[in-house]
Amino acid sequence: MLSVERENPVWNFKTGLGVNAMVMIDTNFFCSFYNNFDVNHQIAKELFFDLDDDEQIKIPYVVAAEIAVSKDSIRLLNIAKQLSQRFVTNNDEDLEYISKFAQERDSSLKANDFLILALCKRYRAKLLSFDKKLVRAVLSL
Amino acid sequence: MNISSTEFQQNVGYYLKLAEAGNSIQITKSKPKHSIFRLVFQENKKASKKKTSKQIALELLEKYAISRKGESGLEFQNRVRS
Repeated sequence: MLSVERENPVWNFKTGLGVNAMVMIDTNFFCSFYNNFDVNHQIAKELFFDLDDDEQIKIPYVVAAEIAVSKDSIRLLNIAKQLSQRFVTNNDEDLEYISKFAQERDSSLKANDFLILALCKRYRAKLLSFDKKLVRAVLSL
Repeated sequence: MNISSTEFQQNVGYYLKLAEAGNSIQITKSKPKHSIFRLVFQENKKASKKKTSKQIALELLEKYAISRKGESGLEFQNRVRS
């Protein structure tokens, strides 16, 4: 089952970026990675080990906000802060991009998905997520 | 320990290890000027202590991982992201 998922092109996060590339972590991936009992925990670890050592891992502010409303929010937020140091925030440029993207393409992405998508675009970052719709959108950038 | 520059050139790795282990090493050279070089070992603590994001993430996983059954990360995200 896991190997089938890995062979799916949706899970190919390699986008040909150079050294010191940035990797954004989505809420679902973060929760799966740091919960030993999560159904996607193992594959999250495998995908994580595939990252290059020099890649910078960043957490969008919107992801931190979602983590903040989880049952284990205190512990998970503490991890997120230590990992990302500074949560990555959106700006006006992102809003313009999102507005254009949403008008040009018939997308069913949610508002927070768009915020993450815009960050990936601006920082030319990879995305670690099990949300296939969002990963597809990032790969199409 | 005194060694010649020729001896040093032929066994650089060996003498660097000795210096790292705390040995005092002097390299003598006769041409063009008679001179003495001292090998000083100093650890760059700032560089060797800098951890990668990946190392930090794995350390955090070992220290603070939760063990909660039930809702998966993806289910949680679908619930809170609207």
